[in-house]
Amino acid sequence: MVSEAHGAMSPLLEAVGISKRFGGLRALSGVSLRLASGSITGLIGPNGAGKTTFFNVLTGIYKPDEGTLQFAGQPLPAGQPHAVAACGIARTFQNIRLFANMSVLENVMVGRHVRTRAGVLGALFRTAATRREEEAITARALELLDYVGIGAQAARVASTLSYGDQRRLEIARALATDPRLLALDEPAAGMNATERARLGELIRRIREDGTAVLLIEHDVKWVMQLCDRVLVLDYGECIAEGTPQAVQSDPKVIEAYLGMGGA
Amino acid sequence: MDTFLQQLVNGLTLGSIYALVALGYTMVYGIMELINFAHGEVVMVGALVALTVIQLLSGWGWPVPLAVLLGVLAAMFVCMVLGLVIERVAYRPLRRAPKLAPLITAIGLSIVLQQVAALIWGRGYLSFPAVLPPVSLAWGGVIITAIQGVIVVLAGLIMAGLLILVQKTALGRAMRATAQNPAVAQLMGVDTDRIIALTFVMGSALAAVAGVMVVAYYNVGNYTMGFMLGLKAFTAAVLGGIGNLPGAMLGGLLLGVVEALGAGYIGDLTGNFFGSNYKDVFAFMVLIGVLVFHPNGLLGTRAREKV
Amino acid sequence: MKGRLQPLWQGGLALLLLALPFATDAALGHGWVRILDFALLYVLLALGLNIVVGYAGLLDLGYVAFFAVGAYCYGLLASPHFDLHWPLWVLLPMGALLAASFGVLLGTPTLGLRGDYLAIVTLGFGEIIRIFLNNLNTPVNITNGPQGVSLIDPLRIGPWSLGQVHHLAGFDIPVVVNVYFLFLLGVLGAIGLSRRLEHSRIGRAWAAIREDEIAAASMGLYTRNLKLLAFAMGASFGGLSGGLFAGFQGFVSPESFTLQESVMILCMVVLGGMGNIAGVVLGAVLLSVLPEALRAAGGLQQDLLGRVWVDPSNLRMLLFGLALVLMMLLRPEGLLPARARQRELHGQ
Repeated sequence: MVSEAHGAMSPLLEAVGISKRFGGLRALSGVSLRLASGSITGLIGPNGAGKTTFFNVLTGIYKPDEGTLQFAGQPLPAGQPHAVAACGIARTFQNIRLFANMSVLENVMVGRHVRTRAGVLGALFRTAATRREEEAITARALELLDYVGIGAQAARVASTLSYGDQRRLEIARALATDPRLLALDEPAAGMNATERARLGELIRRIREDGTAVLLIEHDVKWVMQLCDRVLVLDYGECIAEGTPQAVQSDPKVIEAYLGMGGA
Repeated sequence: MDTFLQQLVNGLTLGSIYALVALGYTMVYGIMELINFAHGEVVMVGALVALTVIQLLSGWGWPVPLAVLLGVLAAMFVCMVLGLVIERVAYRPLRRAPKLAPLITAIGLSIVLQQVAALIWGRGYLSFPAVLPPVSLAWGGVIITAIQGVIVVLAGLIMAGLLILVQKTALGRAMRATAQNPAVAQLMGVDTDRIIALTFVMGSALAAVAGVMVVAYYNVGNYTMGFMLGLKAFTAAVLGGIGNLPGAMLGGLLLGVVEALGAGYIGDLTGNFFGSNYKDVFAFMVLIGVLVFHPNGLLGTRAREKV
Repeated sequence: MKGRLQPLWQGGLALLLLALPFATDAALGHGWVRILDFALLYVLLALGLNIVVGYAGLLDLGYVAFFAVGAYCYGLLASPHFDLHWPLWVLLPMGALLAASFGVLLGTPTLGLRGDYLAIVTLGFGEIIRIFLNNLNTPVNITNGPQGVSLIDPLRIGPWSLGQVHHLAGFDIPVVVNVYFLFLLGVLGAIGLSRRLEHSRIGRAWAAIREDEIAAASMGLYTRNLKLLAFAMGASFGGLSGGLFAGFQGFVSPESFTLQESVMILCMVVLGGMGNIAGVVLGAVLLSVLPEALRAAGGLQQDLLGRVWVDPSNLRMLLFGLALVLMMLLRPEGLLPARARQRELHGQ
């Protein structure tokens, strides 16, 4: 499925034969994926196709039953979300999961945790190094809030933000971990056309600044415009992979979507 | 070998009681994912109510079997009302609150129940009148007393009845549906509030019976008796797989046996460094062991957190 | 720093805290200063538990075990029991450290578990520690069993024993006042540490875990180790106050470390306001002074009703239990809530 030109480069992420069962239900069977640095990849498919399950396996929330994940040439720790984040994969959630009662700024500051080191002793004695680090965390967090366009909201409580801004905040929080791959689970859900367009711009900018993006989305048209490559899942299996044009004309894809009564 | 068999018999008796109490924990947990901390106290209240009624009636010269029967019924009635009140006051208002909140009300309630019991019955030990003739069955070197026989058989019957109720009746189906998914069950016409309340009531009735068994077995009751018993029964529920009815039964029996054998042999095993006064430690060791190595328990399957 | 008092208030508070033991001693006698001393110990305990429950959101129902570890550490190593008389500056840090290690020991296998399991396991742990203290007198006498350890050396800082009356500029400074100042020092230190932790990278991580553990883990927080850290930090406060308790009391026995004590400390944190230092301090002071007032209620019953109907210690626990239930139902954020808790419990 993977074109030669693509395969020649060593990929940023390579998933081979990922399977995941829940009881008797096969949520994923043998899904493989290669993803290049600096790309935007779309993961589409009907409801229940296993897209979010794939994200959860990728980010260490579930352990795969079979298959391997390589990230930047290293095996990705399975089932350890914190270690996956440390490797450079950050994510957002389909049903937004912010630290709802913390401030917008604090949410992003938590994202810096994995790239900073001050421990208990530093905190207790408030050493110069700790103070400097804390200032750097704050500065970087503010910068990221501006980057996603909600800098003015820094002091508000996260749960009081509008829906679209909450999605942006999740992206800022994820970016704070300095990811090389940003995994977005339905980032445009519930947004209108204008908001979607602006989100598309943000995602392109993130890619230009050096972070690859993997995103789940239902709006096929939007995905096709945005992504370099698209992977289609159906019933936990990968039924097509390639450029948006190639995928769009793939009869299996058309059938999967029509079979579901359109998506 | 005789010691082994004797401890096995003692363990099975104790285990039957644990199993009955564990069912209360597991039913409530299965249906609302909540550890009902006050459950051990319900057992205690049942035991003390039964004791009081039995003492009173036999004091009036009523025939002992009748007094015991009425005592058990009174205990069940009081406990069922108590279960209903607990659910209504401490848990229902907090169903949507953060997890910590119902846990704290439960602890509060269990203290209140203990202290109220101490006020009513005093801090001393109440003794259980000899209701069953002290007959026993000697079989080799193993002695099975009448009370042990009654406890094991009765517990077995109750558990069988409960399983049939849950598996075969419409009420049982509604309970299982509520446990699976309360929102959907409600849409399907199940009155989930009623089902939850009923679950508490049934668990409390079992607790009352278990309470009577405990005082009948040990011959004494006290306002603090619910605490350790509750802790152990909870352990049994976790051991079997919390939320799983046959699991609670299996867990209860196993824990009873482990504890009895442990108490019987710990002195020999540790060169008398630890004596049988450490028996309460076993339940705890089992609990940690299960939680660490097999948190789903022996028969349990636990739904994973939604992401 | 946000939340810090104005200098004027600070000065006033300092003066009040300085004068309080003398004024109390003059007005109400040694007994009430002693009650203040105990209140300070409870504040220390409540601050420790607050790190675990308030900051990290972990329900610990066996917190008194750490108090016991600190107390026995001090009691065994500074008494005729083993004929050891180690100094305070060794024993207090050692008790704190030992308690922290117990916290790690208990937490390592259990902190991966969901919150309600943790509550039960800690509850069991508290009881187990007590069972061991009660029974480790045979065959080798380590803890002296139910009789406990007595004749513990009084608290002593260098040549200055807090266990005797001192004369300063014509004033008599009684033992209970000496101790008051040592405990106050401990409490102020604990408040400072709590504040710094709360507003640090670690404190932020705890808050995130409390809010949403899965999201926190996905942002790279190693939740198990962070919880373990909260457990250990909280336990060390418990160990420290245990040491102070042993040195002050001169006697420790297993019955000081029951589940009831754990529940009482939890009550203080919940009633005052989980996660808020001022709230926790208030809760601890209220709940440690109030029972003394209730003790007086026993006498009042005697006078009014002719006999003691309700045993005061009974009444005390009954009220604590009711307070826990009512607080959760009516004002779950506590008397002086932390901002985040208030939002969590009442929407915006």
